[in-house]
Amino acid sequence: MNKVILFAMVGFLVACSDFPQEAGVPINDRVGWLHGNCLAIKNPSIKLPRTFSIFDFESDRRARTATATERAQSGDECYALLDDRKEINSSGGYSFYKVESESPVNIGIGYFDLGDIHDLEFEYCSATEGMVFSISRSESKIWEGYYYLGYESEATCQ
Amino acid sequence: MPTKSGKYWVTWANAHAKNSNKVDELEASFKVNVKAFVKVLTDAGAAVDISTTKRSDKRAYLFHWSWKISQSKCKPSDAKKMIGVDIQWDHGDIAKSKAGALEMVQGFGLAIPPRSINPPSLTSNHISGKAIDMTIKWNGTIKVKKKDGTEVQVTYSPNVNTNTTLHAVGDSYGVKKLKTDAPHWSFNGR
Repeated sequence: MNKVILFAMVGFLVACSDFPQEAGVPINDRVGWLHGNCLAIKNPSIKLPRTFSIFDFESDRRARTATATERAQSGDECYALLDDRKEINSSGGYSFYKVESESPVNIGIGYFDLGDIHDLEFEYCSATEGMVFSISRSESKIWEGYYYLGYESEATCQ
Repeated sequence: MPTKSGKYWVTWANAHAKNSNKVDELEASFKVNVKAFVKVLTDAGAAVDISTTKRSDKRAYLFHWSWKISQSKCKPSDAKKMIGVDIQWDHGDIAKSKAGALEMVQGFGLAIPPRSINPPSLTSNHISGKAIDMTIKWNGTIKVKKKDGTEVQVTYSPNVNTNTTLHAVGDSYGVKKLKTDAPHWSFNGR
């Protein structure tokens, strides 16, 4: 009887877990977005250099590897820190890291310690003044990030 | 004598076609509404950080056409002229015209999502002075007065897009939330 309860509890915990946690690290600490070779992530204390994966929306939606090398401080190093957008993106809780990669990055989602990603859907859309990035599993959103661009264009987000 | 498209125009725009963060530069009626909304928020203990009010139409013009030409969405000769921006989009050679436009796209940090067909807009509520981008923060719950004088309790949420109580307060002053973009409020919610 105790075993049945134990199995039920384990099953319940697994079912209730939105996402595999790396030693209890929240998903926001492990996932961010990129515009150019700069990772914006709500994690100010990544130990550098840090290798991570990029889901590149440009190249047939394949994942590739890159390295966060140091903190980005200005718009010269990171588009998200250009004068028109630095304040909003920073106040969103993001930290910014310069990224080295074999080929230049355009738009992507960067992540590490996510485990098996085969059942994850990586997406982006345009909001009126920025971009919304997301990861879903079984049509349920498990992560979302907003990139403020500081200018307007036609929105594609539903 | 027009100046060819290229990096020069990024430097020019950053000096002569900057966006404003001053409430006083908003359109007259919207300005009154924003001032009233911001005042009740700060009176209630919120911190309001305004990042953008009126955007430059010249800056938007440079964004729009550099994006379109660099992405082959139009011919360089299709670009309209704008008074006060003496730029030559057409270099007489398509590759050079596109290269000049691309220098500007990169200098301005314009996003080019894969397969995107939507350039930066030439017109917007910001350009007409009827929108504001701001970050509003406070701790816990504050009491804020709506325009009709009724007081509502508003609890802080890190996702302002879902804080419908705050939206309703803004709405009462004619400052409406666009729910897809965290900092954006305008006269019509767009």
